[in-house]
Amino acid sequence: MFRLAAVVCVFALAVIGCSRAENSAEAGSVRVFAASSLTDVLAQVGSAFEEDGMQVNFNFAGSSALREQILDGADADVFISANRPVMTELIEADNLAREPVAIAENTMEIAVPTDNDADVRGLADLSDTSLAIGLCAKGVPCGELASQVLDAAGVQPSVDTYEPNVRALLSKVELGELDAALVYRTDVLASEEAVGVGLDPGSGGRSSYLAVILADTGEASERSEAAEAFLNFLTSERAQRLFLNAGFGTP
Amino acid sequence: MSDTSRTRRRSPAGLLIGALVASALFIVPLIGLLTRAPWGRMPEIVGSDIVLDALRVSLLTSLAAAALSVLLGVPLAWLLTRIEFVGRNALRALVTLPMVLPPVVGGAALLFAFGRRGVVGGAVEGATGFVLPFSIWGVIIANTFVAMPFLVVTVEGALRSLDGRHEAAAASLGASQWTVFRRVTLPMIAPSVRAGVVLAWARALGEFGATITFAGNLQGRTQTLPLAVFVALESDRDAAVAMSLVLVVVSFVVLLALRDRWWSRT
Repeated sequence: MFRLAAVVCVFALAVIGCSRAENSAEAGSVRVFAASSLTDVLAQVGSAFEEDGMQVNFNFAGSSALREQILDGADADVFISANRPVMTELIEADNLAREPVAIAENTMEIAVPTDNDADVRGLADLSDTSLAIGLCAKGVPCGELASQVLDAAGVQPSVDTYEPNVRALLSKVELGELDAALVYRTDVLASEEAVGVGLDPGSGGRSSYLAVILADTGEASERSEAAEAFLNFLTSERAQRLFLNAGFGTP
Repeated sequence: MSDTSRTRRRSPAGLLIGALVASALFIVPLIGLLTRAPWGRMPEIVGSDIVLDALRVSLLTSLAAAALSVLLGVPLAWLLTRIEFVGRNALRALVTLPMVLPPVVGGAALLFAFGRRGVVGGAVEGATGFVLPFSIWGVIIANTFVAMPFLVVTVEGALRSLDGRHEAAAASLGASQWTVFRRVTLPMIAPSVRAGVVLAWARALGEFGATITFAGNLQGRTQTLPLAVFVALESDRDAAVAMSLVLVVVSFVVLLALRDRWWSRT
């Protein structure tokens, strides 16, 4: 029994030790916390950025979940939120003296399974009680934007589930469990098992992705320089073209 | 020297230190929760519709899952210990799989099986129009999936360590297998069944990952307390902490009451 416990302990310590060593080797890398709707495009932007010998690691989740992680002391160098309120809350709560930078824009579409079995044609269909309808949870940027879009159209949706982030929501459409969901246009474009039902021009709402540097300039200047480089790269022509190709709007 | 100091001196220091560290691991996070509690807003939050709805869904689904676990889990434990068949060990491992698997994986597997386009779910919807995901039945299925293994393992252990002579004697006196099970086996394993029910209920009450993946999240229908806490953590932390405390109090009171009257009396 004790021998078993000892073996487990030694093994666990060895694993922790290894990952420590790895972390210190990556001191020059940038740790980016980004809204989950950026998952695909930032993977491309990240590998383009790494061509210059830099290193970048991503943590994708709902913007508001990331904000809470950062406020709880998570070690992030750059934060990219999917809307302004979440960013403002973080900057105020964290007393940041930095100005966030707009890096891209997005709009909403109705995502339906590829065969669109339920024959969803527009926002009005989201109030059909016989359909399985999903939205992002309130408080998450895609949920906030969705309720603006629905309010503007005067539609009272018949919602079956409020998902914690846009990717979780989209995957339920892709599986065919939801007949329709309001997600970002870029999520639909990136999906192979869901298609978009276009909305009238201008009725899909508009949200801005904002990026801000969190790395402390005094403490680890190497990391804040890398963060600065990444932020500059995000607004560079090369990165902006990647955003455009993925269906994002330019700020 | 008093009696207590003598016993204290005899208790091995290594065990005591281990026990203290272990206790601290459970007590300190609870203190952390208590220090963040919004005492002033407590009545307002606990009385809110979101919390009352979530509490109702949580109690209903966890009790239903505990009941289903007994109804189906006891026969399963009996099968695993009393009947020899090919693949018994494989089935035994399969039954405990939900204890190891990340609940989110379990939820996804349930979706692939019982979802509208799942292996079974599609046929069920075609025949009856009944859809499990995004319904309270989905929550109950998800809860049962993660909770039943705790009952099966507990009851299986009791059945295996049971002295077979009582059952053999009853059978030799002409009792049918069903009568033997009902009149001899079941009363003897009753304490383990009760312990298993409590464990299964507790696991179901705290269930999160499989539920949100399989049944979604809708206030009043599928939003259990853990789901409500998760959503609130990102929008209203005070409410999240208050709801966590409700969950802690409910489970603590039940576990405390049952542990003395029901559980440890083996």
